[in-house]
Amino acid sequence: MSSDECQPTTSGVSGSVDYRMEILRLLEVRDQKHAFIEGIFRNYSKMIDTLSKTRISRVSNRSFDESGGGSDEIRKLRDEISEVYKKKSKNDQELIDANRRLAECERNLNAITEERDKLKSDLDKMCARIAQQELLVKQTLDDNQNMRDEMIALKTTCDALTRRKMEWEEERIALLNKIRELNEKYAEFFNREVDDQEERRRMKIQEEITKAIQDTSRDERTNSLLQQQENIPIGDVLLGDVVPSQALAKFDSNDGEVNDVLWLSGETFASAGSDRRIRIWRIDSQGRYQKLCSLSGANQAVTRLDYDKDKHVLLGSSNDNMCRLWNVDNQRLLTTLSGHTDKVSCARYHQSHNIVSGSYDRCIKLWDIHNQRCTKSYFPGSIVLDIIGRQSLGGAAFISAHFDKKIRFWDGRNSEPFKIVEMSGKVTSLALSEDGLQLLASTRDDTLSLIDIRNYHILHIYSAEQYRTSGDLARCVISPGQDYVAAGSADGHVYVWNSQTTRLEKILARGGHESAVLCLSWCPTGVGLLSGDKIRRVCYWH
Amino acid sequence: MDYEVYRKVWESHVPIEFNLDGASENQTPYYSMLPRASYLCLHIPKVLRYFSQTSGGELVEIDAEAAWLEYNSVPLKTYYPIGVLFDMHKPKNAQVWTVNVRTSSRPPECHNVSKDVMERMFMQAVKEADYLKHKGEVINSMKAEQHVQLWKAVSQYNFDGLWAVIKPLMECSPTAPFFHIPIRLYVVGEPSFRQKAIPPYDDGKQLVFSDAILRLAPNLIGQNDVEASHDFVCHGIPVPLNTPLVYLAKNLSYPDNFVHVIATPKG
Repeated sequence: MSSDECQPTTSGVSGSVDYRMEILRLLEVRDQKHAFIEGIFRNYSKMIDTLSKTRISRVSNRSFDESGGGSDEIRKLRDEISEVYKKKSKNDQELIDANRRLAECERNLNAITEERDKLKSDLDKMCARIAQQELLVKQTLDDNQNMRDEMIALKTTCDALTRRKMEWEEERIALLNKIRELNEKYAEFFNREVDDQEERRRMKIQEEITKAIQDTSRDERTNSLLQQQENIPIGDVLLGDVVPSQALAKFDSNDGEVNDVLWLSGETFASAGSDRRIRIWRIDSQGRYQKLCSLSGANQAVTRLDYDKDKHVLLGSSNDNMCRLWNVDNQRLLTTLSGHTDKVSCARYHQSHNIVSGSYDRCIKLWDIHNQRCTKSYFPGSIVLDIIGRQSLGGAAFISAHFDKKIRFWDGRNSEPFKIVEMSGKVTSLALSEDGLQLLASTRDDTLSLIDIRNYHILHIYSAEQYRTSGDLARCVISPGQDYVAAGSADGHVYVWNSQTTRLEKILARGGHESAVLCLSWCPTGVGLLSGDKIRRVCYWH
Repeated sequence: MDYEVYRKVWESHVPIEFNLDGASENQTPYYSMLPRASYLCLHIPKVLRYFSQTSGGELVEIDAEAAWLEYNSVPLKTYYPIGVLFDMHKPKNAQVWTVNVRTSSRPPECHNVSKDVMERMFMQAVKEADYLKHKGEVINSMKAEQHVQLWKAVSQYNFDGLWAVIKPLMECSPTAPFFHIPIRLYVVGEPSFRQKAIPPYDDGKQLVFSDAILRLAPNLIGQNDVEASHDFVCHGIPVPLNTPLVYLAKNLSYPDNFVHVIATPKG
């Protein structure tokens, strides 16, 4: 590096011979001068080395010879001894080696034995585990087999049961058909019997007529009676509500309790009672009454009545768990609706072809009239005491009154009520006003409540000092013009309140009932109130 | 550094014949090629061993401390590098330089130089040279082991070991130039060498070998084309006079970092 940086300077200075090359050349010349001698010197030093080595070995040999003296024997012995020593040392070495090998072998053996023992124990463990597993497998297989057998058994049982179920189903359908047939037959027979009765009565009347024709002595009296009758307006026309003031007629209608009375028209009404019959009466404004016919077929007390004015079909619920339909014109039993499992407390027409019924079995059933089937069941969870189902409520809606102090409003489509109004006592009956906007509820705490069903608010509460609700099924009523509300009391009086002012208008007592009044029905004309009590009696108030 | 030159300088050997003074007729001399860069005191034990083995067939113990060397009745300064002694004392017409080994009557001015003493003297020379070149910065920055390695390489004649350590001592750069050139001039016949502080540059001009000689021995070198009366030899060669001093210091210095130049009369 220095030559690189120095060279240009020097050459620049003088331009003379390159000093580096000169130096190298001179060094070369110098080395060549020595080259010849160097070779000689190297050989010489090698020779000297060899010489000194040989000399050293010779000196040592010579010293040995001198100490050996002359005796060959000693040398021989010495050789032998050295030989023996050599052998001994060799043997010793071998012994040591062998010992080492032995120790190593023992160590290996120990290790192998240990390993073998370990493996053996592992093997034992594995064997035990295998045996366990095999046992388990066997158990599982057995279980499996058992389960399979069981399954097969169950399957066959199931098949058999299914078959039996199907058979029974068929049998049930057959029996249902048979029941229907029998029902029809029964109705037929019954109707025939009614016809026969009718025939007999007709014959009897015929006889009487013929007898009467023969006896014409009382003609004039009859004429005067007929004239009197013509002066009093009668008809189906609503003339305004009149507070009844006196009992025009009083007669025994049914044996036992009169559970319900219902105006069928302006001058006919039906009464139902615990004598299992429904009687149809005609009554005029003078209080003259006449029994038209009686409808039988119920096996227990009839509890509630409803009437289809267009078809002239009367609906009655009964304590024999059934509801029945009668044709009023020919007094034929049309249909029996069975399905409730307890006393049917109420049944009402709902829509044109539907009936709703409430029962002590805590359910409400919706029936189809045409095929006599229950189409839907509702489960309010409480005994149903009364039910209102009218088209005026709008669509499929209906209202039920319950033992648990609640009034439930249903829309018919859902299985849950859409509104529940809690009252202060058991709700014994419901009455809907003619315009369908107000609902009168009679509760067991001796009051009546008027509810606006548009917002479910209680508008008015009616009560009186002596008024006591007569029973769980005591029926209240709203007058057709909605001016008055009325309810029968346990003391045999009928209380009439003004619906707007809640003033007690009238207590109908004189000449009336002697026992608790169970039911009321206000004549559609607004004039005339019917009441039925616990012991046979029906009063017509005017 | 110029590796080629340095390698050649390092590798050169000189032939020396050792005679045991006062020995019997049978005693043969010992011949040996010794490296120029080495020192005689490192090789004397081997020579003595040879003589002790071969002296007349008998083992003779030669006291190494008592032995001393002379040439032409002049005791040799064995602490000079072999190359310096060789160039100084070898007769011009002879190939081999003959040295007498004396075992008795050592003159008082000739001190025994043992190996340890030699090492200290060598290291002293190295330090001195570095003070001249770098004001001692390089040698002081080297570790103690490196100092030992330097001497070891010289005493065991190991070029690679030397090359690894000596490089930083020999280097200079434009930013850190040599301050002075460590150069010694030996004039034959004078008891000691001449040494002066000679800078590598003078007024920005690079000084060459002749400038250094002019300063050290103006009487020996002819000026203005006058023929010089002496040859100026280093490592056995007459150094070209136009060689720059920096190049000289880097490549032609002995392991002790000095450029030893011997002035021998011409003819």
